[in-house]
Amino acid sequence: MTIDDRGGGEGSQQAANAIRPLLLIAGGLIGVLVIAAVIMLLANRQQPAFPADTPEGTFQRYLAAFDDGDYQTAYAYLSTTAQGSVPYSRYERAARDYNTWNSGRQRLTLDDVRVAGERATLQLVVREGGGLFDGGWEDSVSIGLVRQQGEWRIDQPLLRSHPMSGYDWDY
Amino acid sequence: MSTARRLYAYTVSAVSLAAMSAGLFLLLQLFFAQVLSLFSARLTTDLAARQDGSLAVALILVAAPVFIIHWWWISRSQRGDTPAALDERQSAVRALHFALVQLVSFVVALVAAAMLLREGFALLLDVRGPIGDPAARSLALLVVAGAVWLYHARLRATDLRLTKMNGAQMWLTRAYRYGAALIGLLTAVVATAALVGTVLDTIVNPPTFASGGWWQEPVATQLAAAIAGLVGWWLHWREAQSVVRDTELIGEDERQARLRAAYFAGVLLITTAAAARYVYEAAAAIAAWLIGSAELTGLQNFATAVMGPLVAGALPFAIVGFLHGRHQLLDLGHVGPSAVRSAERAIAHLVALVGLATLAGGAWRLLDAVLHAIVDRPVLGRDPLLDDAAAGLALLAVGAALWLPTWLWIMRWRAADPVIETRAVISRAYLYLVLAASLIAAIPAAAMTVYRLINVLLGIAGRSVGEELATPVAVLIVAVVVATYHAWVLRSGPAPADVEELPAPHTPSSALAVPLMLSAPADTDLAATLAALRRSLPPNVTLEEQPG
Repeated sequence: MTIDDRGGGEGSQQAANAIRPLLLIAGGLIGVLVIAAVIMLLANRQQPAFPADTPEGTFQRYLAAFDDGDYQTAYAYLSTTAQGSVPYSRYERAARDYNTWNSGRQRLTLDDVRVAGERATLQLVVREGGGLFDGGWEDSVSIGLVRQQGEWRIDQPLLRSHPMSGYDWDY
Repeated sequence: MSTARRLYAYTVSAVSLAAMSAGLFLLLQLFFAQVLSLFSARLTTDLAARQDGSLAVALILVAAPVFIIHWWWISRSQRGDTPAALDERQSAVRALHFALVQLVSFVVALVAAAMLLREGFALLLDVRGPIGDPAARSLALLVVAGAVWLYHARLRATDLRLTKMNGAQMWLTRAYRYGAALIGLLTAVVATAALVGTVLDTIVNPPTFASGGWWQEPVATQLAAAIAGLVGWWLHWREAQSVVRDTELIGEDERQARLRAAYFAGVLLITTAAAARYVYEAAAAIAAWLIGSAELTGLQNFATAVMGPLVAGALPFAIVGFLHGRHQLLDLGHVGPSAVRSAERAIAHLVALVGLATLAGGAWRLLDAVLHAIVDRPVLGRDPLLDDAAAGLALLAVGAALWLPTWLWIMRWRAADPVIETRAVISRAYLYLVLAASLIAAIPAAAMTVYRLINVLLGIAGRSVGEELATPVAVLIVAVVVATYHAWVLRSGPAPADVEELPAPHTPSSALAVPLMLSAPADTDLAATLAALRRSLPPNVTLEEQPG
């Protein structure tokens, strides 16, 4: 491309003077957005790590393993009853399908924890969707845990926060 | 020929041509199937084939005489230099007929050529499958559609060189020429991008004994489409260039035609948007890796997520866009500096438009993620807002890279030459388009903000105030900033009272008119005299009769 510099020296100086504020404004706006994004990212939006020997800590570690694709570790967080109802091979297949076909837009927040002896119930709020015209949906989910050999374990086969029966047609 | 007769003649010709072509296709398909069966040991003498043959003969026997008679009638009426013949060649109905017939036959021939080439490449690459009926069908389609297209293209090219045309006749012919060129070009570019992607995939994921030769069929299909599209584009581009060379014969400078400019603008817009989209894909993958939500280690991951979109996606489109932009500027260099500046202005504003849309989209996604991060509660497990922020950063980077330098260029032109640059149609169209789009985005965003506020006040919102308002507020902020800035640019141009009257630019659409009166003895053939006068006029000068 060529620039037809018709204004001569004075015109170019005027042009440069007119452009400078634009540079500052545009660069400033973009810089502010980028800094805000970096701060947000560094602010660690995730829930602080719960102790490993708590029901919420167990579920948090199960979730991290599931999201990382470490299905063997995620399966290990299931109780013996839950493992007995579905072999690992089928669990792994269902988990891979779930992660392939689901949008990954699900947000889980912890609402309540109730412990009664060797059993515990986590109340989670699941949120998905949401945009300009779509308010998204929100639902409450209860996750049951049981203490086995001093450690908390999830008492049903789950695919992330969903019961496996809703996603695995062979189950 | 009167308009009603013309409509009748061309409509019946088109319909009978279609029927005759269908019959020829069926007949040729049978013939080629028989020939190819000698190579593939498959015979097609079953009942269905014999019925096809009967149908073909019936169609040809019925449609051919109808087509021949009507086409002979049309050909006779446009032969020679009589006023009636000139009128016939200049008719918009004839132009429409040729445009439609050429368009349909071109598209059919393009598809048939791609299918036939695919069969050939599949044979060469040893793709499993029969060779016979599909190839016979494609070959028959190509021969019939190709012959129809070639015949009509030659006739129309002759029309253009024998008769000065303007108005609808020229517009329709140009619309077909550049529309078909665009179809061929896009077919070629998309197929080439897919082919490069397949080749890259083969390098990164070499075929193993278990996976076998998965790449042969995609390569055969993509290579066939690329070649067919390229040939289709080249045929129409060659015709466009020959019209440029024959300016004096045709009587109008094709380089200054608005449809030609629209073709270049369309190519630039599509290729810039496509290239930006693929660069964004690569940038989003890098951003996701930086924030830890995706893996890029290993050649396979890196090639699939970053190299693939850049090399197989963005590069082919960027090359095509660059070559077209450069050709347009070189072309118009022969016309004059103001034509070159107009083209530069159009190119800059189109690129700026794509850049601004990408930048605004990125700013919105990033702002949306930031606002949600402030108001949402911390989450268990993976946070999808991190993906939103990565996508927003990528869009912002790509948009800024496109928009900032281009807009600075435009602003320098505006500052150096405010009168010409602010009056330019493309400049005002760009600003008004951006303002309109910003308002169109801001209005529903403002409405959703008020609606959700009311829900919160009435206590019927399912979530907190912040979560309800984050997204519409993000859209509103970006839309208001974009609209405010561009409104300021629009108003900062010179006031109408300060603008001097500029001489009209030399384009085919702005003309000086000189009323004349032609007088002659009563026995003079005025129509022939007018026709002779028209033939002697220089390029871009026309002579039209006034009624009464």
